[in-house]
Amino acid sequence: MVPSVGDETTMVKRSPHRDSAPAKKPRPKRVVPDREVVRRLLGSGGDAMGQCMQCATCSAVCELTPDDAPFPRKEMLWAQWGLVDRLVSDVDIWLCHECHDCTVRCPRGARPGDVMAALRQACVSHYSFPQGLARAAAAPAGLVWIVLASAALLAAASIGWDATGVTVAELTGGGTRIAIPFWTRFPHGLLIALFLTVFAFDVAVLGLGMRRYWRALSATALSAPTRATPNAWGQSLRAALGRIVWHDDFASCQHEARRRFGHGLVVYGTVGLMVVDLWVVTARQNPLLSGLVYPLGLADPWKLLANLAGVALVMGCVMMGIERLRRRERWFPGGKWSGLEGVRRAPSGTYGDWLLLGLISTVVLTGFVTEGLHLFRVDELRYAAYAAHLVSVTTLFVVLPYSKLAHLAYRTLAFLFVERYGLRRRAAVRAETAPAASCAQPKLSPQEVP
Amino acid sequence: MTNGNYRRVVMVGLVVMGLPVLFSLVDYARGAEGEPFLAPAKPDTACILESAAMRYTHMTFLKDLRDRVVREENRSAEGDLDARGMNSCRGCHPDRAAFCDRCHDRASVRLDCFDCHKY
Repeated sequence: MVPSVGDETTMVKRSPHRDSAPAKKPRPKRVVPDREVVRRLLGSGGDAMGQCMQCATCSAVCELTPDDAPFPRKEMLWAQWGLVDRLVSDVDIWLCHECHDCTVRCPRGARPGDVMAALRQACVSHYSFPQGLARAAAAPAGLVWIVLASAALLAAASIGWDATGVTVAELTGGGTRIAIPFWTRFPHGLLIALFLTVFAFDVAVLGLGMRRYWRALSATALSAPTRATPNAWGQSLRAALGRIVWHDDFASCQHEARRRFGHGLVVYGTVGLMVVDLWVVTARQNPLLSGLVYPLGLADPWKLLANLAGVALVMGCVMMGIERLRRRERWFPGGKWSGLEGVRRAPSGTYGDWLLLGLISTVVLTGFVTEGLHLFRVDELRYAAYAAHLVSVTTLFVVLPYSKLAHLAYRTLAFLFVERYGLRRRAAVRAETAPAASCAQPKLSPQEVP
Repeated sequence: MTNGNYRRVVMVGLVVMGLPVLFSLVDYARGAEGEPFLAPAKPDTACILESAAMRYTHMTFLKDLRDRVVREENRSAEGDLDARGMNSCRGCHPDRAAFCDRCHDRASVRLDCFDCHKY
């Protein structure tokens, strides 16, 4: 397990008692707070973390934390102190699903839920490379450059393809001169090659980051005795994927209960679109796939699935966006809390949260607009919408390993780690030890209420 | 939404995602041809390009011919009308409904050539 903060090796200062103690005691290590990390956490959602007084209400109310060394209390302290080594080798930040049950109950308004989100972003930035791109993905000013770079990348690919003259040769079929239609600027083969390249880059960044994170986790978390034998890889992987497929961890949330459904819509909408993409990319090589390659008619099963998945994605994004915007009134109806009005805020999410929702929505909405304009043959606008769609897709791919979206890699890894080493969440342990009772509090009928 | 209901919804979603794959498998098992909706051309004729290329370029050929003959007044290109114009299409695919319309309907691409021109 992660060593707790009060442990002897982390004394901030050498005390006189310690100096006179026998020499076999472990040598105290000076803790060096990383003020830069603290400053960044303060600016990315953790602005109220200084309010924390370590009362541990947050850890007490959390349904996802293990009973052993529970979160988020210890993370609040590490964040305040800027103990970056511990923060980036802590598996618990990824077990938190940002339901904000702790934020709502925090008596000091320190918003532990937001601090955990800021820590996750810091973890993603810490393990990714190049750091310049990670910094650009973390701030609105950087987004401008990423969008421009994505547009430039697409333009360069298009101009390069034109220069090869392949399309012109194919189109003219021996003739000399021809009006080249817009789609030949971005034939599917070119787009597939381009996106596969960017995707391979994402996989490399995430893969190396995950490897470093896994090593850091193993080094710290396994130094203390936990379980004698880890669970088998297959079993751990199955358990981890089960938690993802069913969104079980979201089910414990009380204050953001609808996020389970909204997040599910986005996840399965994305999976649906990936399935269709896989088909489009492999259609010409796949003997199983017959029929018209492209364009797909509206009645084509693949087109139906793509449209359905797109609608699910937009619905999910809108649901999560609304949930975020209405937090304040939902958590503190009528603004009734005393004394701490200035502090106990319920913010509507950070830049990283809205970047992800906004980018996904932009990708899907520009896609739908392109589709509509194509069906109604509004040519010039349709090309503009298609260009916007391509740029937004490229942007999404470029920021993927540096943004909140990287959670699809890091959270999966964290699940795998805790399933392998048997670090169980509180709700699951309780369900096992008391099989007769359900996880929820037993409901009392009105007669039974004392 | 209860846990059980949530799982049911997810399962329905996964089944829906599998349906197009299933359709493709059924098509394959039935031995469906690549483009079963296109009526075959007249026997013993050859298109100016292979049909996969024609699918993407037929409009460009027609526009190219229009540009040369009408816009650039290059009457010498008129001879191409029979070789590469719509006359040439009609020579092997006499039935418009089984040729242009069927494919365009299937691909949901609105066909507006024949609002003004005749096939």
